[in-house]
Amino acid sequence: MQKNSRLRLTAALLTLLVLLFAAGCGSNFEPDALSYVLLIGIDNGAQNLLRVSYLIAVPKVIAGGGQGGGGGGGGEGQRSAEVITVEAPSIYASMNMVNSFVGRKISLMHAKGIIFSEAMAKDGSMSVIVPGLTQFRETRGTAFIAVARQKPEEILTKMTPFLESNPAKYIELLAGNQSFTGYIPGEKLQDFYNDLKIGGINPVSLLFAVSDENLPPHNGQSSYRSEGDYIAGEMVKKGGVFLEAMGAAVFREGKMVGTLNGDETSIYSMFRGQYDRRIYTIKDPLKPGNLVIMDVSQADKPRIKIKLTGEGPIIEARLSLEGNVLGVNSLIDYSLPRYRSLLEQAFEELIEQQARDLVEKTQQEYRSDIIGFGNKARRLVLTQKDWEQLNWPALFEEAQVSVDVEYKIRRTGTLLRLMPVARSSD
Amino acid sequence: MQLKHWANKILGYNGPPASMDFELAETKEEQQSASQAGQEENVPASKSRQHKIRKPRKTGPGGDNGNASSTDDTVIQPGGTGAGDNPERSKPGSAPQEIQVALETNRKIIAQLFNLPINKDVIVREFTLSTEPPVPAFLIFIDGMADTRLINDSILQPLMLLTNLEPGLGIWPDTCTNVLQKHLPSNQVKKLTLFEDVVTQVLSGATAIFFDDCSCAISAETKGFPFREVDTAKTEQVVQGPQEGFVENLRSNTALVRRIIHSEQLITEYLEVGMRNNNNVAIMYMADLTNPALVQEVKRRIRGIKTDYLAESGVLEEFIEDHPLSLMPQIIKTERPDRVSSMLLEGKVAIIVDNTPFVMLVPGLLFDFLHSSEDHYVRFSNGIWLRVIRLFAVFLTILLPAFYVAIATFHQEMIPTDLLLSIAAAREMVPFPTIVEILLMELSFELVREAGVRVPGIIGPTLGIVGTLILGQAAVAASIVSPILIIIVAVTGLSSYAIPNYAAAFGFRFMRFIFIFLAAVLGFFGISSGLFMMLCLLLNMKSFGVPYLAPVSPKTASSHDLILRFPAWQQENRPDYQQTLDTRRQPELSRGWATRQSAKPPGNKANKEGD
Repeated sequence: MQKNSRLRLTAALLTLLVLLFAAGCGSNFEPDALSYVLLIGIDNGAQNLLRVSYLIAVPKVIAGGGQGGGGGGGGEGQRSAEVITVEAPSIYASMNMVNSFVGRKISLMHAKGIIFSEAMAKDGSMSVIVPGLTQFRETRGTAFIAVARQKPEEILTKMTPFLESNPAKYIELLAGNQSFTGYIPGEKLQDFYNDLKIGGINPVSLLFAVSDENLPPHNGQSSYRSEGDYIAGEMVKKGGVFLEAMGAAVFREGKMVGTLNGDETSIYSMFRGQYDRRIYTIKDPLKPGNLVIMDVSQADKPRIKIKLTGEGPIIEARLSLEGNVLGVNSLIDYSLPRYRSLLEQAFEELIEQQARDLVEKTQQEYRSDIIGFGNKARRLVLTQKDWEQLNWPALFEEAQVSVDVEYKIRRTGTLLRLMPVARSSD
Repeated sequence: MQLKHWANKILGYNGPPASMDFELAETKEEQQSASQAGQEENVPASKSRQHKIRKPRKTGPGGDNGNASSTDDTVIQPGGTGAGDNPERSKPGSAPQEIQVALETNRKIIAQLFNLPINKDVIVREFTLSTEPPVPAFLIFIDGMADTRLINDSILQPLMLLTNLEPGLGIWPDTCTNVLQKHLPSNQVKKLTLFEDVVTQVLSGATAIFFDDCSCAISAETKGFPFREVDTAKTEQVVQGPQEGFVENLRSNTALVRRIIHSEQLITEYLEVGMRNNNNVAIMYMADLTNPALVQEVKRRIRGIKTDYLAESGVLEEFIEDHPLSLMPQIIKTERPDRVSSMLLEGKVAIIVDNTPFVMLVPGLLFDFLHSSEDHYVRFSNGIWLRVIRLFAVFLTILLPAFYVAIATFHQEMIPTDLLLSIAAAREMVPFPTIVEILLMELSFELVREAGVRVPGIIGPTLGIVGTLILGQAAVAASIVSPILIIIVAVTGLSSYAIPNYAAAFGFRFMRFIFIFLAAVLGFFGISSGLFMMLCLLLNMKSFGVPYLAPVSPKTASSHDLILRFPAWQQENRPDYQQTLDTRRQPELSRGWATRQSAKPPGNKANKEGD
């Protein structure tokens, strides 16, 4: 009896296990039976709805597989990633269509970013596709989302890093540079989708452009221009990768309405608490002809307070920054307390001005609450109905925003005293 | 209750099997404070367990008789465990049981018992005591087992030559006692009245002497068989710590332990197992420490064995362990006397089988198999590090190949892109699926391991080189396996050897195949369900009445020596689950010198432990 009972128990457990095993095998793929998409480019189609481009990694070139191979980069052999473009009614259909001429199953598991064409961003069809992409289990929520000023497939083709043999690493690092350049927003696919569906905020995305690669001739007219005063495609650069990621695309109600340049993007990140650090080159407050270069990071979370009054909402924002002085052209010693506070004040005023400008731009020009004041304002009402009655987009446009910046200089470099350049007595 | 009822109805499950009813319960003494636990109170505790002992039935003349030789080395305790029980005796075969009065009759019985004169190993020497009147006598021993010089010098010489100093009436009538007391300069002698004792003694190397007109015989200790000298431990090596290991000779082994624990409370009891080879089995324990119920249970299990031949302690292990079908061992086998000693002082019972250099310790719990004696010999911080490394090694051994299979075939999104691409590139020319690849390599590794053990010593290094070359370099060059896999298999192999216990390492290594299979079929879900089942099975196990996962589950008081080893002066308590009679190793303040109060004159309240 005892034996029999244990036998029956074992048999029952085994039956359950067999059921499980039968269920499992379907979804396993050998790692070399998949082709890994690193970037997705989406554009309007010419004959079908969409034109989808995939940047597909070629493992044997990247890892120098097989019998070792020659040098990865120099050998002018096969590209480490190949761009494939196909026209299809939907993204998922395009994956299958690609597999009609690519042997390995397309997998979006390692897609680092999704790039839409500017046309799709502007006519709102980008915002129709994004939720579906988020829903798909293979896409990563942490992939970046970008708008390309040229054709996406062109951007993908230009993704040929000269340092890395692996484009995946290049793309990851490029999007991660936000943490110390601040020129691009840290918006990910999942953030974009969230901002899209929530009423209190509007999304932004990265901005990609093919670079001009032309250095203008010298005409002796060079003047100061802030390093963030560019958007993608406008930078004066040559060499490396023929791409630029700078600034952000602003959306309202799912449609792209404009762009932010690098400086504005930094301020935007400061408001959203995504700003990490970047370098600022500003005019010297004491000797306007000279420059002060500082490494500025966010010291504390931004504090935003909102009050609803009869004349519209009153918003008080407070940004805490701190920084190190990297270099001073004027040779004024800003490590001295009397000079330091002057520099701090000057920078505070600069950022306050930039912040006010950005808020004004979003209120007047773009009429899009990308900073997310609305999310803070939601706390002022109790129910969704109240919120809908509030009509935040309209309120936002007439909100009075005051920005207060607090800046502290923590370090002034490795020299104890700055000494003037020695000159013969005059 | 309701759950059990439904489980019974649906699955026909009737609860755990009957063999698992023994449970090592807390002693009364343990509930009181350790200092009050007196010796006298042991008696009721052990008595209450008496009903558990099933007396073995004797089935033949040479059957097990734990009592006959149990007093050799024993200091009998008041709460003595098992020294007082009398197994009933059935009639032995044809030979009379008692030693007869007539010498010639005894001679014939002996010849019959030992198959003389066919058996050339058995030597019978007849002689005469030179008393007045002379007494005929003979002695019997086994050539090779007994030391012949010892027999010549300290038995034959005094009896044949020096007995004539006996004054007056001669040695008669009480020959045996007289000889014992006056004429036999041998340090271990015994008076025997039964033939079966004579047989046992002679077979173990003693010399038996029979006298005319005397219904008893004398056995003198003359063991002189060849055995291996005490050598360094081969399978459990340490860097710092004692190097010697046990040998095959039972007496040497008990002596090795006794040399470490100088305590009159260390008890060695002898039992015999095996109807044909009458193998001596010694059990050692601390009388004032070990739970008497545990000792009783060990003796009950060993006595309950009916077999004809006990080759090694591994065979005995199979006979007495709780779950013979489990992959995990439940009895610690070690060849290190220092480990045995420290375990004895934790309240475990040691079982030493003759002719085996491996001593068994019970109960053996999961965490015991992850400990090495060296953990305590190196400094505290290093000891912790050793333990952590070893725990890590266990998980690597069980899970690393399975983990690789799971993420490579099911969860590619978990691998960093760089690594994934290089895995894919490395697999470019490999014709097999990952599971076949890994099974191939793991099996080859097991082959190298097994061949390395069996290979004659001289060829050993060659095999190592060939194995490494073929498996590593050539397999990759021929694109049969991918290079990443070689790393996986090598790391797994290394970690399996970092597990200090051979049997446990074996168990874990075998488990890894189960997990590889589960991972190949179900990915991470398979691994986690496998881990869950493994945990259920382990939780269900007991070793000699102690839950296998103690002290983690059930949670017991910490002895500060589980995964993290605390400094020696903080390990105040013995393991709670051992249910020892004396629960404390040392007082709270074990370092008297370290307290400031001890230097001051008395009057401080913390000064109690001071000196």
